[in-house]
Amino acid sequence: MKKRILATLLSTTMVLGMLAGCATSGSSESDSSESSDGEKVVLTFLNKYPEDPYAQYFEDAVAAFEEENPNIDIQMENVSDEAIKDKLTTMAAGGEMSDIFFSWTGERVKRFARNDLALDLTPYLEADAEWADGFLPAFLANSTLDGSTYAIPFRSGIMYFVYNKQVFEDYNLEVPETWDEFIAICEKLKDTDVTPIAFGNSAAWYSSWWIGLLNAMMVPAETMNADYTPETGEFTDPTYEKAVQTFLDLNTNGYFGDNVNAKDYYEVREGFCAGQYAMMLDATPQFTQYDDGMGAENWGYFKVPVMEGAAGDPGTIGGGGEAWMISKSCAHPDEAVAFLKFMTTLEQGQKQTKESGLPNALKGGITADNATEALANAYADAEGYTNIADWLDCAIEASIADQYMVSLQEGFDGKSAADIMKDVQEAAKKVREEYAK
Amino acid sequence: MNRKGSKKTAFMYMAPAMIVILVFLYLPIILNFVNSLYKWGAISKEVSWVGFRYYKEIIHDPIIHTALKNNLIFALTSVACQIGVSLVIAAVLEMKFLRKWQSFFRTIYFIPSLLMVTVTGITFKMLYSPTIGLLNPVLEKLGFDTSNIAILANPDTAIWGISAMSQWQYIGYTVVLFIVAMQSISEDIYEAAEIDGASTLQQFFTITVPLMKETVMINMIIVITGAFRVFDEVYVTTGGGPGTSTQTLATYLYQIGFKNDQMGYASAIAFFVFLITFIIGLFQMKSYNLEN
Repeated sequence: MKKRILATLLSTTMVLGMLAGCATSGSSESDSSESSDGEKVVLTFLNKYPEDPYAQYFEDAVAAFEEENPNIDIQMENVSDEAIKDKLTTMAAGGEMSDIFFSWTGERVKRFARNDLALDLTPYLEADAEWADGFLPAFLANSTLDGSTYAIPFRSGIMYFVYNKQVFEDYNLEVPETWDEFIAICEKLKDTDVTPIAFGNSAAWYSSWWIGLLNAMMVPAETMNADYTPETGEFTDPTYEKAVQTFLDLNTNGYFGDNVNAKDYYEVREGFCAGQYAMMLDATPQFTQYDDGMGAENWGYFKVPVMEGAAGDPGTIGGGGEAWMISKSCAHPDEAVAFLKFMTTLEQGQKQTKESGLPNALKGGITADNATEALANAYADAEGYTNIADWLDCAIEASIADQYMVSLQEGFDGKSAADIMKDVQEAAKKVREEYAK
Repeated sequence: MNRKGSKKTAFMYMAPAMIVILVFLYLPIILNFVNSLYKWGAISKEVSWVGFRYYKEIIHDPIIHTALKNNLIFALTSVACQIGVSLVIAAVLEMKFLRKWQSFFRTIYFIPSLLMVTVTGITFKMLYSPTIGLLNPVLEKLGFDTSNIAILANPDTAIWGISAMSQWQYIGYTVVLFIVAMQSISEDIYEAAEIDGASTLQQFFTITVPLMKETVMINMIIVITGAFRVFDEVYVTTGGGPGTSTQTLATYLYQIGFKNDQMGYASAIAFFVFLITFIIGLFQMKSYNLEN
């Protein structure tokens, strides 16, 4: 009898223990953002920069904010580039969004907005015109859906071609302004020891930069806008196929060198810095990497050459931004907005660029005082930009972007441009049907 | 009364373990199945009933076919290497003249299985690389034309390259398991066979293999079900590419669920993988039991 009682007791304790375990983990979801001791407001902050010098800058910035606002405690978590995409998805699935979280601008922001996970920041921006006017318009505009802004950009990226000055000197080359001149350079370098363009596609995201850029250059802006919207995307315009063909031709003509699918971005960047390649498509946030890799005096950059007679909007530049969003379920939106304001003041933005090398997204934010000469020059025209063509994987619905990248990889292995676009159209059709339901 | 009481007690003792298994093993399987009948996403809040639509989709999805083919390639090469070849290696290491060196070789073969898959993945990716790798220069020295050899970039060879990496890593693990099993076979049997004039090869096939049947069977189940769940090896080397040529069921599931946010379809694939491994496991257990 005693044994029985003991057994019952023990098993009940175990079961209770389990239930208690479940209960605590369940309830902690909801009050993660609630004040811990009645006074202090705790905000969770998911960010994307675990590596130095970036991490150090963000830690310092958070500390500075907390000093100014002793009643707010920011708990920052830094997760790396690839991992954060999954982390955000998982958090959304578990209903445990951080109060403030990182996102790329474009479709990725809109996806959160559409599904009611993001706080509409428009009222806050309207209430503080000075803050709203401080941003480079193209980057703030990138985070709007149906006229409402859902994300505050803190990092901007503009695509340029970087080139090896020594190679250009050795082969007597001039910086190209038009696409034809660009191709002429490639043709000239093709049979030398130097590979014209540094491009590798074993990690397929790099091709989304290229195709995003080529689409913006070659596809009429209106068509592109319609197709990049999940509800109306068709990708049937023949200019898309032309853009893909232009991209594939660069490979078939030998401008990318051998085995494109065997190299990745980082490998070719090393190769570029070592002088094996003449030119490479990259964006402003990475400019400091070239300073470190080959010395500031040994590389230069030029604007993406203009494709004469192409149907795209010539005012559009390729690039993209990174932004912070506030969760709809955040219990203290005012404090969260205050933090974002602090992080995007001109002073703090300039500090960000100076200390971490990450270009901010503010008017007058990048000058010779806080950035390298190359970076400052690269942003000279930034205030005039009205439209940013996001990296394709951030611009269109995830499964269409995925199909684009997968099929392009096959394209470098022989698949035709027409078949690639057929795949994309198929994927777009599926998405369209899903959204129609 | 007494017997009834003891039954109750037994049940009570078993209850915690049973509850743990039910809650953490069977419940998720059931929940996953239920999830696969709905269209839902992690980010999208919309949930709608689709019934068995996703299962029909699985049957017609060409990438699932590729993935199944790749999983089969993995299973076959794994059985050939991690069962076949490692059995031979174990037998050779158990030979008298090698006994002195056995622990040395055992260690050498075993070390790769201690490495993280990420480490081996990145290492092999570099080894295979036509620009910075080691493989192509070696082949070139042997007189092959390597201009078109890029193992991981070629859709026809990529999955074999990844599978080869996996064999390299895990062969030593099964070798050690087999050696342990071999050591439990009585020395007398071999002696008797030797006196009767049986050759080493005959001894291997008529004594070693039959007496190790159980170990081989268990390892076979582990290796084959493992092959149907391959994820890390592919994820760190090719990520499913070039194109979709190296997608396995697990990497495709991940792609669908976490990248494309189609959790319903991903759940259906997960249940499909469960069915495959469950049937294989059941089949093998059964044949193993019958012979016992």
